[in-house]
Order: sequence, then structure tokens, then C-alpha cells
Amino acid sequence: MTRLKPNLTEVTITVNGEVHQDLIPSDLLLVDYLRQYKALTGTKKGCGSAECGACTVILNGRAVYSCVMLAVQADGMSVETIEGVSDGDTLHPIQEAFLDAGAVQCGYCTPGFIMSTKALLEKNPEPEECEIKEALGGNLCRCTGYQQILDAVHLAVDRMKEEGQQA
Amino acid sequence: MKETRYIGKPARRVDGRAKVTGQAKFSDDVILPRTRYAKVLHSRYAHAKITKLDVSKAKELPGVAAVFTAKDIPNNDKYFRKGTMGDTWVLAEEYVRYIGDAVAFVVADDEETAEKALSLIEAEYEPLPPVVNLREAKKAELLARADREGNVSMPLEVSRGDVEADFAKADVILSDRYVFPSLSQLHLEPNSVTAVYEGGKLTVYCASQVWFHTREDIAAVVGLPEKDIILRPMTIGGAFGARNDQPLPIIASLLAVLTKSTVKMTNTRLEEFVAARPSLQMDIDITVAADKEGHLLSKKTWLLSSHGIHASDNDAVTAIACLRLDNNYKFNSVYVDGTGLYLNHTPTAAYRGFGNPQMHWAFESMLDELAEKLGMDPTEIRMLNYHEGGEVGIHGFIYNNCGIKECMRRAKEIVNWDEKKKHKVPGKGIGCASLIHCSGSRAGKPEFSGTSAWARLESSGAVTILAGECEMGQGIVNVCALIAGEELGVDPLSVKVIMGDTEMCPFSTGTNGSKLTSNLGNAVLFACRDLKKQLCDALREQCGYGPVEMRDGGIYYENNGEFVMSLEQAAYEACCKFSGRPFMGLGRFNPPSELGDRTGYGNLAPSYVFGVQMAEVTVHEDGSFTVDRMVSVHDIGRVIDIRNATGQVYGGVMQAFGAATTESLDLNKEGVYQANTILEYKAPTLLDMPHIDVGFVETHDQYGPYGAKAIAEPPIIAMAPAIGNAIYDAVGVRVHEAPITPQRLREAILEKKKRAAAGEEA
Repeated sequence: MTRLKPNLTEVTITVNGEVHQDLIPSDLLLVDYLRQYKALTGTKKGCGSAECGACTVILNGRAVYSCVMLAVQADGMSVETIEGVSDGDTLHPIQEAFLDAGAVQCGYCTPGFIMSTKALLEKNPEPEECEIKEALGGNLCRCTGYQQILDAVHLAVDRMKEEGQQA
Repeated sequence: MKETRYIGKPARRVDGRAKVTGQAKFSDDVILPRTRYAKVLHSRYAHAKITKLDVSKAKELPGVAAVFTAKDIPNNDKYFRKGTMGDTWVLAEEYVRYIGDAVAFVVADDEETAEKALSLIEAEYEPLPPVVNLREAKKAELLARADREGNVSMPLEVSRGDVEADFAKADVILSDRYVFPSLSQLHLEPNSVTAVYEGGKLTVYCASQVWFHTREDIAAVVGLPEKDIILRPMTIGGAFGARNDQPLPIIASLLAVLTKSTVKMTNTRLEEFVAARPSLQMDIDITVAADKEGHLLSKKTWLLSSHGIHASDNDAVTAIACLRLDNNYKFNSVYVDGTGLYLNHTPTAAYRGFGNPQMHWAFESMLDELAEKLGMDPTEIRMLNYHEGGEVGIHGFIYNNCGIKECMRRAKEIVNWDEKKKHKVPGKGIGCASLIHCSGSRAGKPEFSGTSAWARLESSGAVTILAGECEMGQGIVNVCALIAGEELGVDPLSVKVIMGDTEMCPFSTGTNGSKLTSNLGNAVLFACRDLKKQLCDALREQCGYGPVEMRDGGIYYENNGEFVMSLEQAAYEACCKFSGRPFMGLGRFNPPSELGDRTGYGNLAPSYVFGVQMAEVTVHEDGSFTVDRMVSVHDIGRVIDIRNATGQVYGGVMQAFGAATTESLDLNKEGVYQANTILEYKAPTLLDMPHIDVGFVETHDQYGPYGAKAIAEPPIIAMAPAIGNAIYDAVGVRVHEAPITPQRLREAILEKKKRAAAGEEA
């Protein structure tokens, strides 16, 4: 049970394309809003202090750590989480590439990496290797040694270019 | 090599889709109604007497269901694992003995209230000097535990062959000391548990590498029979040995039983550092004896290892550190004196490699020192002393195959070793190290070896593999699915693999010691063959089709190869004929191995894996350096899942790179870890990682499924000494204590200059 608190704020946040109006505590973190209020548990809370990137979501086109942001800061904005990346049937080319490159092991960091990749490719569809490393440098993975994650991003870039698709 | 359809081919992971869509449910993603949240009050002192512990204000806080201290816990000192030493406690009673030691539990309606209640507990301590250093612990002037007479948690002394005689005839004797730090496995997912108690039964949603061990542990502490406890495995966000022995499932279960409710606990990242189970720091002295041609004759080793405040898997880790590496070279004799010690920090346990990386750091560095003294190439001295297939290692490992020499040849080719050694570039260096590990070891219960699996065919035609082992990210689900796909002729991605659910799956001893590809791989293979036979027998006899076989997703006549029907139809017909019975193939594999005797002698596994790792570095005068490239070549028998096997190597090498260059859990004098956050711990990021080249030498293992052996642990084992050896090659300086930080390297470089200057003056 979550206790009612005196300090509630009404927010309007677009989550994965749907508009949500909620009365939320002012000190609620964005990651907790997504996980607890919206049951979008694909966004992970790995460290709670912006060190691991497992909580990465896209906020108005930018990849952000949702564990060090208040939900009220997202008022009037649009949040995209891992649950919004595929349509429930067809996977996004980035997701396909992660599967085909072997970029997934335990999978805990995967949503964060995919969101960081998507934010990058939306802005920069043909990034240099150093730009990819820069964009994903804030996401930690303890399983893959990053090599196959890097392969996956390159693969996604190539495929999306071939298909003329935008991230 | 037999032609295969799926084995050895690139394949998507069966659990991949759930993981790229955010649908995979990890332990903290469990949200159940009427859940209470529990928090732990941890000691802030490494060693202290508890002088006051007043929980009355915390108890009065609205929303708090219960607060527990040691006196409220039945069998407080009974927190132990059956079969190993029981020497620990649930809550600290008179003394706290490490930072992170649990002093009190709070159970509340929500997380925030639980946290607030913690702050209302009045705890006062009288600090005592902590034992934080291995050499001091050995001296035992201070005790880490007042209830022990010394600080020795485990002594081990082994002597094989005539050590003194071999030393007497040696041409070269060399001694040195190496230190390898305690490390955090740093699985990215913090431990989280939801325990549901209702009417004498307990259901626990959590992560574990050892499902049935964890169930035993829970039963012993909460006082319920094992049959009334179900563990429901959630997706596991990495483990690397750390989840062999985690306290959280036990604590949450106990609190659920004591409060007769549903209790959830999730560790903070800080708790994952101070109250987890990191790896063992080791301080190793070695004296090695060789003849002038470079044959290794003998070796004496004195090893101190940090067990932390109580026994866990650390006994076995220390034993493996003491013995395993010796098997990789043709020694005449060896002596080892190993001592596991109590220190005032959290108990230590397994980390990928299980003690092997620590000893490899020491001895693989020493081998390079020896090579230099003898004027030999580092690869040459190793090649001279390696075993061949058919030989027996000094502690009883029987090699039915051994591809280590081929690994060395391949690795040398990849880095162009001979050329680079001939044409040295100032500041650049190249180094190698080799490794040995078990495949399919008898880790787990002494009286039990091997593992079992079911292959189930439902009336719908769905194939499910059930096994009691653990998928923690390493990809064993895929190995199972590929084997089932290969044997049954179905698409591996259509195979469902259920692992570790203690209600549905066969018993297992747990997932450690790189044992699943050999052991479970075989069990799944045999289960699928059994299933196939049962179904074909039923179709032939009871359904009247005559001799048929199962392949390519269908049933075919044995005599003319004509198609009879789809697998779905066959499953339905056979199932109906047998009153709805599903077809269950049972597979069991009992590896041809034995437990070591009291001295650790024995053939611990059906097979052994080998590898050679190399590094190239650039070192600057100021001690800063870059690792330019790492190469990791492994003999793992037949490769079953090429993409995952490669990923395992990349990941293990990265962890070794971290251990070699940045990571450590050093304690300060007060017993505080110098790193308590991921940033402070400095785990490698994408920006830090050098290029890695991976190679496989495919031997055929007679016991492995399709000839396969293990890969999970080997990649972490020898990369740290390879980097150390490369740095020596570049600047002629050795850092004996890992990690090789720029500061340490700079000191070593300055020291060398000072000595050179002093030498010139003299």
C-alpha cells in the first residue's frame, strides 16, 4: 500500500504515446513512477544513483537516467520506455540486431542499452564508432564485454539504412 | 565432426525476445498484493560490542508491522548450509563483526516507512579494533571473532612427490610474492526477494544459482519442511558465483514466516557491496624450482586468503586456488600451505573462476620471471611443460583430451608473437598466460554427482525441457534448446526451457564450476532420446503405424522415409491413445569423476578446459598505460552455441581486464571498503574496453554432448597475468599487487630507476 502524502502534484505525462494524468508525490522518482504506478517494469533500477544506466528512458528525444529524475520533472513531456519500442509483434530493428548479434546475456542492462541506442540513432542515424561509444558509455554491462553490443548497434545502423527506416 | 543442423550454428537466444522487449521478469519486478517491505539495519562498524539496541520507537511508528533483533529470532545461530561449516548467525547479538553485519530487521507496510523505522532504532557500539589485513590476521594478535581461538577458518597443507629432492637438483630457484584483491562480481541486478507465507507454506520469488541448496537453507532457518517450500525462479540479472550463497532469500523467507505475510526485500547498491559475497583476496608466496632447460621440477606455495567473517563457499575457493593450476604443468612435485582466514568484512565466496584467477595471477607471472632468468621465450617455457591428452595432472586430473598446445599456437599466430618479439618497439609490450579449469565438475553435494532433465512433449506438440539448474545469463537455456532442437528435429526457438522451479523441475546441486554444458547438456540429450524412443514406440505399437522415426519436425516411416504426420499430430494421437498422458523423456548424466580425497587428489570432472590468453600494451614513463588488444583462445571441445560461447569469452575477459587494471575491494584500517559505489569500484565501461579477439580450438570430448566442454569461467582466469607480463615486456617492471594502477606502475618504474642509479654509483 502506498500511503497518501500531503505533498501531491498533478502531472500529465505521455508514456509510450498514451497521455496519463496522475496525482503523484512530488518526491517520486521517474523510475518509480514508471515501475510502480504504470507497472512498466522493463525499466530497471540497478543502482539508484545514475551509475549503471539500466534505468535509461527517452524523455522528449533525449536518453535520461530515470533514477535521478523526479517524475514531476517529466510533467508535460513525453517518455518512451522499452515497452514502447516494439508494437507487441514486430520488433524494432535495434531489438532484432541485439538478438542477432548476441548482445543479450542476462538481459538486465538490455532495456537501458536499447533506449540509449534508440535515442542516438534518432538524432544521428549513421554514427561513427566513437559516437556510439560516447552514447553508450553511461550504460554498464557486466556480461558481454560490450563487443556484441557494439556489433548490434552497427548491425542496426546498417539494416535501418538499407530499409530507409528511421529510429 | 558429425554434421549438425543447429549445434555450432549462430542462433538467437530462446529467452532473447523477452529480454529485448522488457517483458522478462526479474525479482524486483514481482508485484504482489498485500506485500510488506523489509529492511535491514546494518552495522556501521567493522568490529564492535553492541552496548545499546533499543527498537521501541521504531516499533511505535505507524505502518510498522514488526521489528526483530537477535533475541526474537528462533535458532539465531542456525543460519548455515547443510554439509558445510555452520558457523554463523542471522542477526548480530553481542558483537557486530563487519560493516554490513545485520543488527535488526524492520517489516513495514511500505518501503519508505521501513526506512524511516530504521532511522528510529537506537543502536550504540563500543568499537573494537578490526582485523582487516591477511598478514595481521595470520599473526592472530587481534581476533576477528571473539568466539574463535585464532583467525584460521581453514588450513590446508598438501605435499605431492619428493619436494626437497626436486629442489636439491634444481638449476634455478626463484621466489616471489603476489597479491590479488577481493572483487565484486557486480551482477547488475541487485538481489530482490518476495516471500509469500500462507497456511504453513512458503513460496519464494528470487534469484539463486543453487535452487535446491537455497531451499534447504531456507527450511533450516524458518523451520518448515522442504516440501512446504517452493522457489520460483525469476530472470536472473547476472550472478558470476555471487548467488551461490546469498542471505537475502533466507532473510525474506524468515520474515514472511515470522509475520505470516508476504514480504519483499530489495538490496540497495550499497548493500550489494557491504553485505554481499565478494571474492577472496589472496596473498601468495611462491618458490619455484626448474632445471636449466626450463622443465618445472617443483613448487612451494604459501597462500593466505580472506574468508571474511564466516565460512561459505570460500573453503572450496581456497582449496581450488591451492591446487588446480598445478595440474596444468608437468611438475614432479608440489607443496602448498594454504590458510583461509577470518577477517572483519563480509563473508567472501565464489567469483567466476573459483579461486583460479588468484593463483594464475601469481604463478603465470612467476613463469615469465622464470623464463627470463633462463633466457627463454615465455611461450616456449609453457609449451615445454604442458600436458598432452592421455596424461594425468599432479593432483589427479585425467585428460581425455587437451588442446592447450594448439591454443598457444593459435594465439601466437593471432598476435604475431614471434615477429613482435623480434622487433621490439619501446614502450610496447606483449604478454601471455595460460589456464586450466574443469568442465562438468562435481561441485555441489559430496554424495551426489551429475544432473537430470526431463523433455516433455505435450498433446499440442509443444516441447519443454525441465531442469533444476540455473540460467543466470550465461545462456544454458540456449544450449538446452539447441540440443533439444537437434535431437528432436524441431526449431530450437520453439523449445521452452524451464529451469530451477523447485516444484516442477528435477533436483539439482546447483550451477557452479562450469558444469552445465557437460552435465546438463548430456542430461537433456539423453532425455530427448528417451522421449523420441517412447513416442516412436507408441506410434509403432499402440497406434499401429509400424516402424517410424522422428526428424525434421515430423514422423517418417523407417523403411521408405515417407512422411507420416507432423509432430503435433503424432503428439496428439499418442497422447489420446494413452488417456492424455504427456510423453516425458528422462535424462540423467553421472559424470565419470570423483571427489578429491582428503588431500584434494582426484579426477574432479569428466573433462578439463584449457586456454591461452595474450595482451598487448603501451606503457608510458609516468606509469599510465593502455591495453591495446586482448586475445583469448580456448579449447572447449565442440562449440554448441557459437554466439553465446563467444559472448562468454568477451564478458570473462572484460571482468579480468577490470581486475587487472581498476577493480578492487580494498579495506581501510577501519574495515571500510574503499569502493562502495559502482563509480568508485570502477568497473569497465564501453569506453574503457580494448579490442578482444576470440579463438576456439575444437577438440572432441568423449564425455561431452556432441564433444562439447565448458566455457563460462575460463575467460576470466589468465588475462590479468597476461596484462602484467605484457607490461613487464614493455618496461621491465612488474606490479605484484593487482590491480595494476598507474600509481603502482609509476612507483615500480621509479623504484627501478632508483635501483639502476644506485647500481651505477656502486
